[in-house]
Amino acid sequence: MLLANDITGRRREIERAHLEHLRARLAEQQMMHGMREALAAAIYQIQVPLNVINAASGMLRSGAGNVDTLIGMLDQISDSGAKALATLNAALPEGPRESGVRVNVNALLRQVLELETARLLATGIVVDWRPATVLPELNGHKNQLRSMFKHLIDNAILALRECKTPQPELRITTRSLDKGVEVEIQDNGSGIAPEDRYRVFEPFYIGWRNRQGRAGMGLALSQEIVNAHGGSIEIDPDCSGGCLIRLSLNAVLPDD
Amino acid sequence: MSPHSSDVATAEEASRLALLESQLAALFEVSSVLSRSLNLRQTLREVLSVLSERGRMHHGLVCLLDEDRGELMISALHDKDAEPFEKVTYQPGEGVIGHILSSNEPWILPRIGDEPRFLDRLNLYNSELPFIGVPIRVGEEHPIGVLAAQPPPGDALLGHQARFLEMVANLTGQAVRLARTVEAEQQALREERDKLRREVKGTHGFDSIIGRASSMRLVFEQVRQVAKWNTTVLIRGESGTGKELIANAIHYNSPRARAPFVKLNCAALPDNLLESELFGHEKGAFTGAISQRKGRFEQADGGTLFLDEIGEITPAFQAKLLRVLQEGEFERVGGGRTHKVDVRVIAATNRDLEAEVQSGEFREDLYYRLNVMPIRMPALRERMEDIPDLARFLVNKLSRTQGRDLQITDSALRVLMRYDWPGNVRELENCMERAAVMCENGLIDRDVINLTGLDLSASSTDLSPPATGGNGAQPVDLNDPNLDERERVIAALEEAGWVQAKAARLLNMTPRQIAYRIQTLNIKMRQF
Repeated sequence: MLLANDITGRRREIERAHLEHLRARLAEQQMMHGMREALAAAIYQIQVPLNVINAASGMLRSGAGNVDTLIGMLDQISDSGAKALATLNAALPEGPRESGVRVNVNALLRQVLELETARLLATGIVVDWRPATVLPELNGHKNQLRSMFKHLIDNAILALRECKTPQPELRITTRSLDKGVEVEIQDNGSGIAPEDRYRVFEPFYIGWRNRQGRAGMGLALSQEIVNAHGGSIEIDPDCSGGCLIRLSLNAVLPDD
Repeated sequence: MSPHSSDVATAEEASRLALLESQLAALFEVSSVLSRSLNLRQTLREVLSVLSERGRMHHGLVCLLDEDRGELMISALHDKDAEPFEKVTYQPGEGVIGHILSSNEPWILPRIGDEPRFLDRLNLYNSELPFIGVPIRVGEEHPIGVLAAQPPPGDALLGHQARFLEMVANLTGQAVRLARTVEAEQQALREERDKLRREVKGTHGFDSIIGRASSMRLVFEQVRQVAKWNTTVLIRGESGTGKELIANAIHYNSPRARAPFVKLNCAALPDNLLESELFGHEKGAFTGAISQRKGRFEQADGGTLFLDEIGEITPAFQAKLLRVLQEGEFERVGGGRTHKVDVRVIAATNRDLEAEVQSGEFREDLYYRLNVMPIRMPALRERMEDIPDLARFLVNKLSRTQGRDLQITDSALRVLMRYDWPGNVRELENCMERAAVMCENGLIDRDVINLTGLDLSASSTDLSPPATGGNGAQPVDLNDPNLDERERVIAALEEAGWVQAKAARLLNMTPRQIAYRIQTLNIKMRQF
């Protein structure tokens, strides 16, 4: 009798978890779909003014255009451009609002490393985890920081996987600063060329050999998140034999 | 003495001299190696290889004391194959090496195999051979490390070998100390630099820009986006609207935040000076160019260059600027070599560039080039709702710099909101500064503001009846219990358009009562 009860309860639990999982999957899928559609529509919208520009420049080059029609065309271009901008702006989803909490950077990095354990093992990466023994907690947005660390560590794993270093190593160091925390994430992959040191932070920049399906937003987002935490992020110019990303985070106001 | 023994003596003497000779040569080479570079590890490795080749001291080894961990760490090791050695450490007093450190005395082992304390952690030394270790000292203090090596077999001159090794250790000690001092200084400088950078970033980020008006929020969003890219930015707006603050925010929120941010006001210099200031000059390029000088573009390499008052430059100079913007290339004045730089340029102007293009004073191509990403700063009168926040921010800043408590009253804020601020935020800042000087008790109220000489009659909004006008100004709740008596009377008077009788009704007072209060509270009536 007791046993039977137990199983029903557990089964209900499993079912609930299954549903929850399904719901999350569905939401994610819808989001992906929505993003895809929005981007495709944006591409289409931008095509319109571009076509008009092409037509106008072609006409001018052949010597056929006159100033009056050109002005009309320019008006048309700026009209359709403005319309495209407006639709895109309206389609922009609301950014996630997250309230500031006390954050322990060491704990966050540990969580991310745990999430990544399987991938790290699959690539055979030796993790050299060197947390500071005493790290001040700081006010910050927990989820943002976590996703930033995941981006950075994902990048390191991908870099090590792409260049097939014989002894792949990932070193993560934390250090406490005067009013904040410094984190260093270093891999011994192929590194980033000095002339690309800033460009990698641009949105849409993709440095991977396999570019398919990548948005090139990881480092741009990281920069954004670091900025929101009053810090800075840079690629160490002096690091040879790999890539060393150094970032600092300062306390932010909790109501930010 | 038999001839045989004298032969032996001369042979011994000869070998002693030969040894001294070779040691002198080795010492000379060691001294030149030590003065060559500041890279400690590399220098030590070279010293050990000289010891091995010239001084016949093999498997040389330098251990240095790690101050933080209190252990001896092997810093350099000479071996046939110079592959990286494993990390081997010794506690002070542990083994032969550790004992040399704690006793601060050289130690000669005639045969390694006879010494039970020899740990042989490196698994490198021949146990049949002798071994010499000497402390590395700096001045009279405790030794900072140990230098050890294995001399050749059957040598009767071990004492000489040890003395030689001691000389090398003394020379090395100075090199170690120098390298450590330099390293410590560099570390301190780096930390200070990073700290200052963080402070500068803190004072130049978005936090130092006040604005809740929608026009300002648009500017913030533009700055946030433009910071990510490398595009040239043109900041437009009347003077005093804070164009430089925006340029600062762009730089300190961009990936270039740790690189230099260089500013130049183009209006401050005549054309020829501007050119040498921006592009630099070679020695002797013109009278007075007594040395070569880097221009602002080179100083800003990798960072951001802010060119204020870009509308003031002559067409000849505009052509040169256009080339840098397009190719990132330029020549120093009087120089033939082309320099290439990676600089993000932020330009600012308060001029009407379109009109100047039309009149031919501004090159059209440069105009299009700069206009890729224009950011327009709204004038202060277009964002009246920000005035209270701005004024409070400025007063707080003044209170910090003056080291005294300063407050601004609501009535004073309302006066500020009636003015149309042709000089924008800069004028507001100056006004607040004057008011802070003039108020004695640290309370800035409307009388103090009036004393600062704000010409309210000149402002256009002044003519519009009651003070509740001006966008965003909220009518004051006269029943607010937090309002003090004086403020309440002033608010009522303002709402009533300074008609005492009307104000009295608003406050549920008689005209006599309000007149009495105006007198006792020392309220200056507004003159029309």
